[in-house]
Amino acid sequence: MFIPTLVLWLLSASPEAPVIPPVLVEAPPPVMPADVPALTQAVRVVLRLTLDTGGEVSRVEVRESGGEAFDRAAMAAATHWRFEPARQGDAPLEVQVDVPVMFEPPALPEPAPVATAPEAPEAPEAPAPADAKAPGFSTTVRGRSVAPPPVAVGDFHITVGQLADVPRNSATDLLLLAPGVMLANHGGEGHAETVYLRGFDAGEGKDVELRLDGVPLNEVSHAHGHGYADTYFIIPELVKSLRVTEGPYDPSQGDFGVAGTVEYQLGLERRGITASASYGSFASRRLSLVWGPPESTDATFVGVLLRQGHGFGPNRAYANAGVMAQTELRLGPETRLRLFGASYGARYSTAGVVRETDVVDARMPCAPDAGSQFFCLYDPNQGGANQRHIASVEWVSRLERGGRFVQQAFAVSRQMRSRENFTGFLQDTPPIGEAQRGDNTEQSYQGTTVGLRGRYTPGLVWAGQPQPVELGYVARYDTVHTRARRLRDKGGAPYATVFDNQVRTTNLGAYLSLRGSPLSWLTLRGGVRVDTFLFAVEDLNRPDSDRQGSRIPEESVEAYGFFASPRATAEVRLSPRLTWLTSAGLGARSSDAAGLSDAEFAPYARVTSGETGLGWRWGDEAHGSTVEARGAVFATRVSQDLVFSETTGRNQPIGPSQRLGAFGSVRWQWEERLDVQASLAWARATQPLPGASSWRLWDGTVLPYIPQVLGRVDAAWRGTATVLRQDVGWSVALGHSAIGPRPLPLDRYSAPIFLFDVAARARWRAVELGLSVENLLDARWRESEFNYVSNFRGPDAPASLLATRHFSAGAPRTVRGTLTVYLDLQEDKP
Amino acid sequence: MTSPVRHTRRAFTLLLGGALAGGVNACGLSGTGGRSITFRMGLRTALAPGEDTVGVFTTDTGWRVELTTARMVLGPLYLFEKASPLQPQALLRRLGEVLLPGAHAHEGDFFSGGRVLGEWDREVVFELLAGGGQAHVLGRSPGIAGVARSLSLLLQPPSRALGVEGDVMEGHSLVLAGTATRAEVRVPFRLALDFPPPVELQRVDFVPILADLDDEGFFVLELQPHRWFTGTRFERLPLPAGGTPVEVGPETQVHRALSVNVRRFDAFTGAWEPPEA
Repeated sequence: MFIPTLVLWLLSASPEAPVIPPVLVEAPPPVMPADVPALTQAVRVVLRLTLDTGGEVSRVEVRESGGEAFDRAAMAAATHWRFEPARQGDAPLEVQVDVPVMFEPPALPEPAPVATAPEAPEAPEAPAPADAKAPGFSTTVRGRSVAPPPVAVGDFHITVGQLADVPRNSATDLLLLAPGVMLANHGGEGHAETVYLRGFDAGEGKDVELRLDGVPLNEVSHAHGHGYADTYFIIPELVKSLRVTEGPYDPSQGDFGVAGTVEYQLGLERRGITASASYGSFASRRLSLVWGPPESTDATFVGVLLRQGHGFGPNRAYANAGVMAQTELRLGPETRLRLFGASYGARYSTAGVVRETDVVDARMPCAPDAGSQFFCLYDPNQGGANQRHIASVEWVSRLERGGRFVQQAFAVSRQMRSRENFTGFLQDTPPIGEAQRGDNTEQSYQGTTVGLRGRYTPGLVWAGQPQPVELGYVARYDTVHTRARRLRDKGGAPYATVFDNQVRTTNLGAYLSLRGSPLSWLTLRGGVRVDTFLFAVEDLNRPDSDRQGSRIPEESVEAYGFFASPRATAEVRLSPRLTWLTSAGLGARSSDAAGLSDAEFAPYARVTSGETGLGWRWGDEAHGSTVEARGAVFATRVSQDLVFSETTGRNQPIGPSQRLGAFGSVRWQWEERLDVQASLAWARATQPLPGASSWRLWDGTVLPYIPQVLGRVDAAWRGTATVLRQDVGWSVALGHSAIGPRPLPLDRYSAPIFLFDVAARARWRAVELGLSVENLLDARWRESEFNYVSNFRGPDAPASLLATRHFSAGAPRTVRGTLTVYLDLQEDKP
Repeated sequence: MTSPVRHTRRAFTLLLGGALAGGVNACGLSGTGGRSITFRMGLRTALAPGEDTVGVFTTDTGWRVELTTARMVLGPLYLFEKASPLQPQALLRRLGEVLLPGAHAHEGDFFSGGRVLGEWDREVVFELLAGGGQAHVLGRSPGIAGVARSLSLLLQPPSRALGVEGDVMEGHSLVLAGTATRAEVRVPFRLALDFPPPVELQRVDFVPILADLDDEGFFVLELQPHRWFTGTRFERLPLPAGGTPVEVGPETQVHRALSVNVRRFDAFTGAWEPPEA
């Protein structure tokens, strides 16, 4: 492991004025090369850095090699290091420093207390005045890379790292690394996942803000549901980390951040080319290719991903392809420019939902055995297609006194069409003499988003606190066409329009956050965010006549809304390892433009949330392990919630709701060998009794379908073995989800779900073979469950009016083999 | 044959499931409201007052009717929580309704009877004279515990969904045959009723019932054919020679009376038999 020890030999000051040595500001540690055997002794690399007058590392040379892999890892890290420049008087100097970098087997960074402010890098030992003509002194700097401080116990900066070995279908599955998250998909492989988080049925994004390196992914007034966010296009190999902020406690959280905010952070640490091909059950094929030039940072990469398969049952075929690319350009010593682009296209079929009674009684139109009935379907005309294109430019300027100025501009274009049939033959009122034409609903959405996002952190030091202030803003404009139509059962031609809206929205938001430590053991953070929304809706589905005669079948609606949301956190350091955080905040979800009235003050769903809990971190340097644990209790109240309506196939308002819950999580990392994370979460979501006090969080009718108990374990173990005198790297990984009984209507519970996924890999030189098994026990599980009225017997059959259970089947055991080739481009000398 | 692996897996799942379910259920039911039940649903032909034979009765017009064939397509059947507006009410309540009438907005369902507490969601061809007045059990039906105060059912020609079971109806909704006798006049008759769409003309709404639905009970829909013949005037039917049955056509008074009466709220009733202790 790496010991971030830097030894700087500085040139002495001129005789006229003492030289102030450079001060380390930021030094992310090197990453242990993955393609080397486990170390048995320390490896030392000495780098010579040229620090320019801005404190940037302008040149890196290897003075003492530790081997190419280690040299490259050390150099890659050094390009991210940042210093306050050496000075002589007020004049900054360009200096050279030699920095030894150690790679040691058992070593680990000093434990950084979780849930605390990052400590400023230890200042250099006070440099003694020295002769100007000779390197007169040396100093030692211990740099430390820590994530930004959490704003609450439920604010998780999750480095994927070794847990990437756990089998996952898509980047969306990475969300399971955060406590209290459950994912469900009723729409097929390519349809956004429904996210359950902290007692929220966050739908496909209505209650969870999703971003990709600052680019918003939630789609306003989407035909399938306000806030719909599809993350299927993200290439998992390029996800470096996630920040999952559960609850609205960070002033930077914006629209849809009701249950929380998820930010995917991209990066490719492994340089060179990695090509991977998989084949498995149900003819699933996956081909990925990612690469990043060795001489560039992990922020420069390209990824291509192709997926195709027949699906795990009838009418579940899918095919999709995506490209993601990013380049980081250095525009001078203090400015970097990141150019990012992504392109994605997907098509999929889906089986939709089935009535439980039909499956139990073997009435589904498939073979009568239980397995065939379970995975059967009614309407084969279900599925969808997506296209998404993203472009983003991010400009990062480092300021003289350590501040930052970040500007980002982004544009997103997407198109989606989805066909789903939840009710069969129930919704249609056919012309007299005709049979029901069917409830298959086509939802289509085309839209473009352009926006700006930025933040400014002045390099201030106030009351001993560096950078106590941050200002940020977001400006987002969406123009979308969102429409839902009913399709005929025979032929699929549209016969009725449910809604047809041209929507334009402008969201302007700004926030200010402050931080201060009035006492040595107390840190206070707080801020306020202000959001405004302007909605302009052109309703294209109005009647062509009314009581006063004929009219134009269109109508315009405009609305405006404003919301201010304060957020605050108190952090008490009980011991160097134990921290107590208490957070409170307000958040908001914008209105679905489809439900607005003209000139109204647009209503928001307002969320009030609070939590308190402990964070603890322990490190054992001798044995090279760290343990981080967190636990908290929380309460949340939402002024206007939405639940799924089968009649429209989207979410509809139900009034206020509230939640009470708790979670605990622990992550144990032992060297680069073992990484285990486990979490357990409980939440109870209710609709409050009319007129009841806000404090009666327990009372009320329980909201159905939202899991109350969720458990998750991710574990990965890596090592090396000698086979035929050859070093072979290996890894085994386990993912386990435990979903407690979900409350169902009529005081019932669903059956609990236990899923186990395992994977094993072996690597020899540049070739790696892997095998993964998802749903190892081949459990028959229901991914989504609903309770409503439907009629799938046919257009002539009498309709049922009694709500009954429907479900979409979860995937059975799926086996996949993978061949991966690593080309590290050894000819590229560091 | 069940493999040991499957046994182990099941035991493991049960263990974990038991622990989780136990933890959750320790707090009671899920709290989502309501309670699901399963009960039996059946059909029965009611005896006319004072009669001991199914299908034999005397009409208010003095005709003694003896049915020899009686079959009909009925269903689906819905049990509603709200009372029928046609149900007899207390005088004060009726007065209040007159003085301050309630607003009747469309609730989205075809009958504003509130929540459906139970249903038989299929059509069935019922032989009224079979079983000798004993209930014919249709099967088990899911429902919601509570008091059902009205029912609604649909009368329609046999649909394709009914399959071959409906062939016996030859496309008709109701087939009756028998003899009507008054004094010395004997009228053998044969009659078929059709109830084509629209659905508003197929429904029998507002049938008053009082059934405290619960697990394992038995709800019986009772058909009251003696009420269907109220006001029928067989003497107006042209009697064919030779004693062959009269084909009662839609232009006749008997046909029209039956067509109206079968869809009246009092043409059917329901009875609830709670589970035996």
